[in-house]
Amino acid sequence: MAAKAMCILFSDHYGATPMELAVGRTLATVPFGGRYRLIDFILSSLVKARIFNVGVLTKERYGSLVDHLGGGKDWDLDRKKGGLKILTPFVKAESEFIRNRNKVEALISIASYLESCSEEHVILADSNLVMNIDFEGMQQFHIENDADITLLYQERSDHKTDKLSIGCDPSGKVVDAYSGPSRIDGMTGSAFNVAIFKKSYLLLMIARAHTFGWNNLERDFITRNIHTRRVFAYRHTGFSAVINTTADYYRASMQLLDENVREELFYSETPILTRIKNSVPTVYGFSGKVKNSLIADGCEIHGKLNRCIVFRDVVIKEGAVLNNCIIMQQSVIEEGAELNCIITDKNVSISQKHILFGYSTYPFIIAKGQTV
Amino acid sequence: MNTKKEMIAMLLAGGQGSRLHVLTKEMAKPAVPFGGKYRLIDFPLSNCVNSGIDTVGVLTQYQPLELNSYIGNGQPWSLDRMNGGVYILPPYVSDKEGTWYQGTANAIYQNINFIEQQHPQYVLIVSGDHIYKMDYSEMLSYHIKKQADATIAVINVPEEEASRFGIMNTNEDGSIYEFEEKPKSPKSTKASMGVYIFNWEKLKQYLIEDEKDTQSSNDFGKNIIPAMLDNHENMQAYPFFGYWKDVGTVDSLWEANMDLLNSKQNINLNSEQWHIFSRNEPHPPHFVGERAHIAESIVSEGCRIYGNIWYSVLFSGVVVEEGAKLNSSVVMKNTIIHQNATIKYAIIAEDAVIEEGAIIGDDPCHYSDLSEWGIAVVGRGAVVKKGQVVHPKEMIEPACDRFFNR
Repeated sequence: MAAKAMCILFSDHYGATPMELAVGRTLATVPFGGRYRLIDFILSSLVKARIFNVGVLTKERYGSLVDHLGGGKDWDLDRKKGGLKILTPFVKAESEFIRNRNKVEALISIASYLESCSEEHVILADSNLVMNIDFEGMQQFHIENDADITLLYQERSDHKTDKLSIGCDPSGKVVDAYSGPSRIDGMTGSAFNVAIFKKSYLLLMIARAHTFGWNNLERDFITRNIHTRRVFAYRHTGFSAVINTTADYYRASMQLLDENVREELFYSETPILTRIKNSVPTVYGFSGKVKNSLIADGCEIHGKLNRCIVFRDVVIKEGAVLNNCIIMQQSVIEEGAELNCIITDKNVSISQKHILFGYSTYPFIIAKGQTV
Repeated sequence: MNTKKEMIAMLLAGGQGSRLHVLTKEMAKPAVPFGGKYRLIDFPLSNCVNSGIDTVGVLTQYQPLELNSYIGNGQPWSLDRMNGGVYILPPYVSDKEGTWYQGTANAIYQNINFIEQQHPQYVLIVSGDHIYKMDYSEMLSYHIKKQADATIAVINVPEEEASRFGIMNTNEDGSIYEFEEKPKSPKSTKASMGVYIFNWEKLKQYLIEDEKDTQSSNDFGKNIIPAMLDNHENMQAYPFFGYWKDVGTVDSLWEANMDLLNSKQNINLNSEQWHIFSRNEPHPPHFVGERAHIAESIVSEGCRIYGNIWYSVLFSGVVVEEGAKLNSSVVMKNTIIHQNATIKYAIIAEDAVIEEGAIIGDDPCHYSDLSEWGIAVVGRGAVVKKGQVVHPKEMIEPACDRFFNR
């Protein structure tokens, strides 16, 4: 029953320009889906698979992450053995590594922590994945195949230039990998940034990285070794969304309005856990007219909403008309305001009768705390 | 590590609440759900914590499973403490004997050892079945200022209702000289709220004396308070102003839920200064479909609304299919209301299934003789069949084989 794996989550982008909503907070704490933060999905999948030793690597501006996670109690990760650990950067003035510029440096900085844990396997994963991951199945597959690395992948018909494509043999062993602009036949698997490593192998890689100056986790730890080590791939079926850009974010959010997606994400056997906030239930006024929308607790709805995602404690006043919008916590939309394809961050105020139109291909984001 | 406490609270949560009928068939009254995400016991528990009381004994007896699981270690109310916290106190056997709690006073009497362990100066006794927000520390200041032996919180009720309550008759200075239970000709309108503060040493004496009296009902209102009055103890009436609702009947429970939709006589659950805490389950935000209509209602997390909802309170995870109509009703968690069902002026308990086209309850304006009208109630896990009609005042029993079907 006890899990054989522990998990290390990367809470941020490493190297890439963060998307607008991730400026000022970690990628892991970008609010999503009306009441969650991106990291909640993978945390919930880990807990469902009884993986209770979870370390979250931080880089910078991780205040909101610490605030959100606390001691891990709301995810059932407040444990005496294992549990949630926030791994803040270990930086000295004379240190060679400044703020963990890439994932490899981040791993080098926690090598001794990894060594001290008793688990035999380590899951390395990003925290911007909106999906239910079957970690129990993936662990079993990894152990049964005596794999050094097991990647998580999904068959895709569309090709993503920024993702790793892989080709496997019938047993699931990875025989080829490709990261580039054109599509290659026979390699239709698209890998996620989720992998299980045998801990002994991972520590070996980390030591090599430190010795030889490796700086790319995917290339130096994984793809370089697919022919010399046992690298396997476990298939994910079902909904998945990787949130790197505003376009990814908006598209994935609007997909939540599809009943099948919601059914799969929220009404499966994995409850999506998040920080518990004691809001009161939402109140609808006399003139509230809502269609095709996802509404969190604590709101007061007096306006018209269509295809919107409304977070906690939002007030939408009478005469306000919102289409295709995402309104985050504690924002206020005043009377008569009209919004289309707008994302408002927390605590935004849109004044009376103001009109803001974006496009579904280019939604406008109103930054935290701003008043329009 | 038991440091002396100034005041601890004892919460009487053992009652059956028989006037709530099918709603309390399988759970104690304080566990009855309210307001979309709360239970009645959230009010005294939150009041205690907000008043700075960190030690609360909850006396359970009737059908305690739901209540005990809900309270757990007290964490949602910040009552999981190193020194203090919430304690569930059921009746128990010792090597000599053991009896069920025989009355409110006997329940406290049987827990004298627990109270002694806390060494409190004062003990607050509250019931678990009223909805109100009160700062007990202010009541304690009043008690201390008046140098009282006992202080009873009172609220002014309308004159025509006074004969339904326990009425305190007071002198000019607020001290009580007489207590009348449901008097036919009430002399005052100060109704007892069932909230008492006692000096512990004094209360202990009266509890011990009362136990010796085999004729006694061992009840605070019937025995302890009158005994203290007879001995001319200093009894004070603490005046309370604000929303207070006894939700002992189906009608009053329904009304209290409806009050939440009326902003003028609201208890204001959304207060920053005096928050009501509850144990929350993980639910996604609620979803409102294409042809749904929601007005003047409360909708909790996890609901999926495709039908029409007017002036109603929905708890978490309720599904309302297309064509279904709700009016002035309370629907508790995880109930499913199928297409074209009509629900008016009703309380539907948790996990119920209302099949297509069922009709539950009715508008009172259709009844010239209001004695024939009442709130319809559907019990927990019950299934109301396709096209079935549940009349106003009718009650459907909870499903008895529910546990084995789960």
